Amino acid sequence: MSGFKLEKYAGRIARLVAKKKEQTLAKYRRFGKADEDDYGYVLPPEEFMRTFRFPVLDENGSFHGVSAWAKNYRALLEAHPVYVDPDDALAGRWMFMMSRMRAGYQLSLAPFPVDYSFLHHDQELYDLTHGIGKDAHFAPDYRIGLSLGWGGLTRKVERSLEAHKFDSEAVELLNAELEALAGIRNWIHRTAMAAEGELRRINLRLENDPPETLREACQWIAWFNMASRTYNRDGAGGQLDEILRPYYERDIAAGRIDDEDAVYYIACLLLNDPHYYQIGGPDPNGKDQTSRISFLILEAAHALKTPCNLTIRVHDRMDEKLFRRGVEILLEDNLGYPRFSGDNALIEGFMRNGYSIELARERIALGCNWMSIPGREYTLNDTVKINMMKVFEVAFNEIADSGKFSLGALHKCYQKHLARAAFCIAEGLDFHLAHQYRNEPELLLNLLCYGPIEKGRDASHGGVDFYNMCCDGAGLAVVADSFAALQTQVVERKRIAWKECVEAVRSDFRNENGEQIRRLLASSPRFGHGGTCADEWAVTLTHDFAETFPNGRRTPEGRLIIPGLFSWADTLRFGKTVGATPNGRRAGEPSSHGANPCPGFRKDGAATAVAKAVASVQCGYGNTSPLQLELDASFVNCADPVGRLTALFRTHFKLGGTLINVNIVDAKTLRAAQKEPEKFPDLIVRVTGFTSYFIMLSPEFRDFVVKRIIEEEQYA
Amino acid sequence: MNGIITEIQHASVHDGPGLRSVVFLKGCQMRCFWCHNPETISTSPQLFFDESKCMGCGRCLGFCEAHKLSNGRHRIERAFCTSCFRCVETCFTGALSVCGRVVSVDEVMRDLAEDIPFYGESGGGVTVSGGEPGCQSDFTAEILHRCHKMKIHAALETNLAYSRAILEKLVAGCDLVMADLKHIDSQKHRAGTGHGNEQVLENLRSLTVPLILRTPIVPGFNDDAGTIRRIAEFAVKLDTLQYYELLTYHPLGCGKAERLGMEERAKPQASPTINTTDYLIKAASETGVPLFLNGRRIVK
Repeated sequence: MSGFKLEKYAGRIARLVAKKKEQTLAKYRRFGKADEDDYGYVLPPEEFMRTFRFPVLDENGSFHGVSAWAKNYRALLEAHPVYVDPDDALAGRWMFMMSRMRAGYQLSLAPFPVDYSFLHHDQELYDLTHGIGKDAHFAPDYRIGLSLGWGGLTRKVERSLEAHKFDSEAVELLNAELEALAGIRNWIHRTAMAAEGELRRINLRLENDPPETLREACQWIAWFNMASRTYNRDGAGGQLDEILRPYYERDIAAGRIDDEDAVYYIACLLLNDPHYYQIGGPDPNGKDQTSRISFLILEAAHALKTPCNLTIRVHDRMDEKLFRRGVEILLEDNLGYPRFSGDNALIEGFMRNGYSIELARERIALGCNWMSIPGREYTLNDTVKINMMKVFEVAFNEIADSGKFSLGALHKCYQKHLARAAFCIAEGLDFHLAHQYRNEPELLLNLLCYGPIEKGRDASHGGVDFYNMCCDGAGLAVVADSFAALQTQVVERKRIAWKECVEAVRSDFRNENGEQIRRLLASSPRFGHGGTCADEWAVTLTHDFAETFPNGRRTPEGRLIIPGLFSWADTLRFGKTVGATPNGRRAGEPSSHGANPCPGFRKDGAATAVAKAVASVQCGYGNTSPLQLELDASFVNCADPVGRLTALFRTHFKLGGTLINVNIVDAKTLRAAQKEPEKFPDLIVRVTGFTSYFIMLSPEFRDFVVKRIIEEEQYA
Repeated sequence: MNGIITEIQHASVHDGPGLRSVVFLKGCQMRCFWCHNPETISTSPQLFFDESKCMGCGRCLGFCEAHKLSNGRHRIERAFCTSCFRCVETCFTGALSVCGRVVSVDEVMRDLAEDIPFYGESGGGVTVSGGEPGCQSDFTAEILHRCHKMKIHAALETNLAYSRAILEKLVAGCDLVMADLKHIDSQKHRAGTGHGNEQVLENLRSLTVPLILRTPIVPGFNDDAGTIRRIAEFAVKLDTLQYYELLTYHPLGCGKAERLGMEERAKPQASPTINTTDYLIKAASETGVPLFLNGRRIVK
């Protein structure tokens, strides 16, 4: 597919991309920063913001509960400004995120008992991201909606309502679903009427009927994405090549479209919203799913060069051409996509939870760091985290106060507090699963899951088949390096006394000799170097984390917990709550990034070393510890960069790696953009699992990303 | 068997095919005035002083006369340094360090083994570089031999300015030689490096393993079309040549020279301009030699 030319639609795509750039600038001017995905929304007219009011509001201006969400959602959609662009193959853009339109929202003010104060002490002590009251972060199966259409979904809900008419929980939920569906169909209808020609015809049809052509399927998915984003920011896509393949093959066989048409439609879908999609990978029987349309999806992203979240699943029987083409585009476009996931470790890990290989193969990359079985699994992925640095700080202070230091005692104390933090997380997950359906039901994702509509139960409350609750550890490298620094400088080399170390750390290295001690500690072996005590600590701490959850990694109510290592874009926030640490990190400085070593982990910053290091700290149960790889632009200029990078990725996966995100950034460009971000409105960096326009990051976050990416130069 | 190295760099993409680990040996018989690895010239460990990291704490004072504190700034008088490196032991900030460490072949192999999974997958391997690996020929030969035995692709970066006997010892375990020919004219070669090029040319002609021939482009020394064309004409006749590569001078060695107290090497040379590089590429291309520039194939 290398060199695919988009001639028929080149002008339209160029204009669409230019308009998106203008829209990004407009968002930047209004909001200044985002620190998250691009999402694809556009700004609503200012007049709308001044006049629209939700019909159901609490006294404090917020809203809770099934009925309030449904009524407000329907009202918002029925008033939603329509958006049609004659250059676009698809109609519509979304403009609001209801979950962020709750002024003064506090879960504790909900109109039902929601008291989890019994968890507050430990949640605060360990800076836990508990996930209670969080939404989305599991995946729909688009095929349900594509086969039924909005009309079919409505009838399915109506039938279920009839079947469950004496079940109050089901009646409340299913009535809410009907409100949501009515709002969506209204939005589609009004948009259709604002469009002309084929675009009007398609959307009038899709208001009720399921799609029949590739363009209609893309439009249907775009509507679901926009509706779901508007509801609660959900961004999980699906196995896009397999989902679109039947429509594409039918259109091609009927002579309705050619490949250029297909690329144009898919490009418009990707431009509409950068949802997470997987391409390639095995089907439930292990057969490679790569098809012609897998390549066309890559070419569509390549044609756009806007934020995009495509993941190629790398497995033993994969089409090597797809792998190589993905790496070529990664290198050529310099935009951080596609990403790559490692089939072997993901499958082996998920099966360790007792699941079949077929299910493990269906669990695909659909979020920042996360995997999910579309339509069948509720996870709270990426919303539940333990700040390992904070747990370490509690243990460090306890040992310091005891006056009896030994490395073994500190480690035991850390394990004790980690277990307590994990138990608090587990109890919080049970609390969430018991109450969330009354707070904020998953009205959109329920529609495309197997069970919630049929059973009349929200996905968070028994609606789906599997409950595999996520919990990620953050700050591993800081903790590993802290243990290694104490081992090296206090225990083995005796360069400083334990007491001196404690005083320096507690003073944030501001006491007499504090800065010297900080530098000494910082010069200790680091996780990622390879073969050091810090590398050993990282493996030990990963094992501690993976096995710390009680009762065979189950909550008290018996829900499975799957551990991983990931910090999302919260490295700054995690750092702010933690004082200085014995690896030489000052108070308030960011945590290490996900499973990655701390910047400057070895002088040559070797990509092979970081690939090995991250492969060695996988929790091993099917959730990821992603490898965030920062490659200097000079890598692109070496001989055979595609071959070298492909080999690096494949080896990381052979060693046990699960997911790879890559940035290839020219340091000069980054520095210039850091000074004047407005001059670089199209510079995209991969922040963690997601790509973002650089301009949309806060100044603080820009500084952090720049520092991380160009750190290597400082050690050259 | 022991040798002295500065470092082992992993994941290199500029020292041979694939992903490679590069062992940088200390010691070189040439004295190229533009050397970008000045820390590898001496065969002895050297005191490395990074003033930007120094806090002027004074912990290192008192062991010898080499360290002075003047107006809050740490000064090193190298003439008094006996290379005992006790000062390094006391330095908390990393401003003082030792450049060069004695290691056994076993230690080197343990480090190189870290990246074995990456070598095979990428078509990479190990490169022994320097300095001049020929200055530690037994140590180098043993590393290459062990790699060969472990089926790790082994490459040698060398200036070839040594005897035939040493060459034979080194290439016995070698899959690829990356050799420099810095000037085709022996007198000019001597003026720039301290050595004539006769031995280099003879060794190049006798090589039986695949060869990548390279010339660093140094303004005022060899950046004229005639010189580069003559080297390319010589290169194209070599039996085992894979390609000829031009490497443009960069001043990255100057900072290191300053920190090693090698003031005479701390001043950067001029870098070749794009125009210069262009006409040198043209001159070399006219000979029909397969040509690379800084790691990238030049397509005519």
